[in-house]
Amino acid sequence: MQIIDQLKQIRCISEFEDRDIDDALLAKIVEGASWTPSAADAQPWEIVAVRDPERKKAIVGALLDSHLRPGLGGDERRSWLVQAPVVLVVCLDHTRAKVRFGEIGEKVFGLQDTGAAIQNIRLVAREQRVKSCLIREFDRPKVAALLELPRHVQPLTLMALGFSQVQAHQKAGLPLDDYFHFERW
Amino acid sequence: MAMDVLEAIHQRRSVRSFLDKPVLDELVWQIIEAGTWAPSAGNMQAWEFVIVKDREARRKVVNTTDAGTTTRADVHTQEWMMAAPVIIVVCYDVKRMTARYGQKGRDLLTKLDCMGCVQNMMLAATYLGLGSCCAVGFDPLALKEALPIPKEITPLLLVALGHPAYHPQPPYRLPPEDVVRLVI
Repeated sequence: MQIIDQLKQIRCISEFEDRDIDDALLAKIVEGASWTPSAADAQPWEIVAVRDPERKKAIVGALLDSHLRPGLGGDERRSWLVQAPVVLVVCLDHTRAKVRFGEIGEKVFGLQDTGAAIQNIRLVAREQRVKSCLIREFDRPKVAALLELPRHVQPLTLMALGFSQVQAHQKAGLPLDDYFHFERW
Repeated sequence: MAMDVLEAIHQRRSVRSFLDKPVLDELVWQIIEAGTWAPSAGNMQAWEFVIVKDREARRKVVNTTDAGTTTRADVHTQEWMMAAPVIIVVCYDVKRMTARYGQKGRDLLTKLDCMGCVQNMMLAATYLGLGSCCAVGFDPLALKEALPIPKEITPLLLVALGHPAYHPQPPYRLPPEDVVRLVI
């Protein structure tokens, strides 16, 4: 399969089978991150894998709605995350990200690079038939406290991983002309 | 041009670009003397120095260097060092340290002490209006073969010295609040 076709397969799936992802497979998937280039080769990502149902429920308790407000719409949104065998909490080590470049390291480069690592993880997962879903609408300090993260490590994105028969709805992005410019804006 | 310690600490930069102007011997020896006033385990002062001024000899030093991740366009050596009129090879006498401290002396203490010595040297150089830069990316055994360095000492660090061609902007430093992790 061509890379572009693999990319089209990366869609958020929020319905998972009751099937675990074992440590070996999980390691294989997360290792996708380690091949991501990063500014100053800082590799500033830190990833916490959550399997414990109680901890997953606590993460659900920290979710925000699609306008970043606390309180969710419907139990449906709550339960599927607990269903996912693994929730990866992808974090940024702010110190590692900024040590070489200062603020731009943590506010720009670190975010870009961790985003790339996330995409790489999703691609490797997909190849292993593991589907994923990203959630960015959550109370970050709450999740940081839950995972006992040190002050300089902040959660960036949640990634639910699991097996699913659901085929994601394919949606085309903006046409090239909308975002691709020549020579200048 | 009087400068206090804190000023020297803040003004010191890694300078890799020098004027085509020699450094007076007097200054080199002052810098080395400042180095020797660094603390050392058991006051063993395991540092020993090789002052390299001759161009051919400097070429031999640079040939043992490795540019590592800064390698560009197939240049694998730290070529910038050829512009420095003086390279001080900071070596250590292993026996002096090992006699008192054994393996820990050999593996750890000599290195810690030599770095303290080098920092003093670079601060002194800054105070004297010179530029300096410390390099660890070189092959000590190759250097011992290239120059008649006494066999009982081992090169550890290179300190390039010269009149700076420019003053680099200070790079970012993590603020103390970020790196003080515990106050109890």
